[in-house]
Amino acid sequence: MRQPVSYIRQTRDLYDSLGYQPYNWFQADSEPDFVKPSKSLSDSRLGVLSTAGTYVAGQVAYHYKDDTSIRVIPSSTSVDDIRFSHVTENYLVDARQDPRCVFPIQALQKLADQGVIGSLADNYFSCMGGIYSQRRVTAELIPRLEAKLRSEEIDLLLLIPL
Amino acid sequence: MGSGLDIMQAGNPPRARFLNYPLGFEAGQPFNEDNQLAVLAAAISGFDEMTEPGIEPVNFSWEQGWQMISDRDKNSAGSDLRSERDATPRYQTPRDKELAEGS
Repeated sequence: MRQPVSYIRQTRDLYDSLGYQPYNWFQADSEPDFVKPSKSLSDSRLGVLSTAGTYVAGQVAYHYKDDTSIRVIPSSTSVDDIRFSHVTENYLVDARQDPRCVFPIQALQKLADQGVIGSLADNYFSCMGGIYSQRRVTAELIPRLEAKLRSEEIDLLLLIPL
Repeated sequence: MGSGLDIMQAGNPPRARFLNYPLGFEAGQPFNEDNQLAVLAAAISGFDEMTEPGIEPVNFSWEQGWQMISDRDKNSAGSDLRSERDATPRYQTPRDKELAEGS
C-alpha cells in the first residue's frame, strides 16, 4: 500500500515556513466511546456529518474565521446544488466539479435503494472543518450538532471529514 | 470514512475506514459513480464488521489521482492558498451569493 501522507507534519512545516501561527491539531486523550450497534446497517437509519464546509445553493456560505455554524443538507438535495466553502480550498478543486467525491449523497441513496442501508435521515449536516479554537468547537459547535443529530433519530452516524 | 490517516488517528474515532486517496476524494474519484459506490459500501460495512475500536484501511488505490495532485501542486503559483481569515461568507460562486443574500 502507498505510504499514507503525514498531513499534520506537512501543515506544521508549511505554516512554520510562512511564519503563520501553528495550527493546534486536536489530539484525543481518551479512549473512544465504542458502542456495538444494536441493529445491522440494513435495519438502521443512517445520518451523515460532513466537515467539508458543505452547503446548499441558496444557503449562506461558511466564513473562514472560526465559523462554528452548521448547515442542514436535506438528503433529497440534488447533487447539482451541493457547494463547499472551507479554509482548505485547494482540496476542493474537484469536489466543486463533482461534489460526490467528498459528499456521497448519490451513493448513499443508491445503497439505501439496494437495501444495504435501512433508511437515510431526512437531513444530513455539515460544518466547517478548519476551526482554530478548540474551545469554541467544544462549547459551540458540538452541542449544536448533537441537538440536530438527536432530532433526526438516527441509529448510526457517518462522519466524513475533509 | 476519511483519507487523512494521521488526522483520523489524532481524533481516535470509535471506528473508521481509511481510504488512501489524496485529500478531497474521501468519497471516491470524481465522475466515477462505480468507484464512489464501492468506496462508500466498503466504508460503511464497518458498522457491521468492526467489533472493536480502530481504523481499518479499505482496499483501493489510485495512482493517477496522486499524480494529478502532484502535477497540480507543481504548476500552481504557490503551495499556500490561504484566504483571509475573516467573517465574510465565502461562496463557491457569485450566483450562490445572490441566491443567499439577494443581489
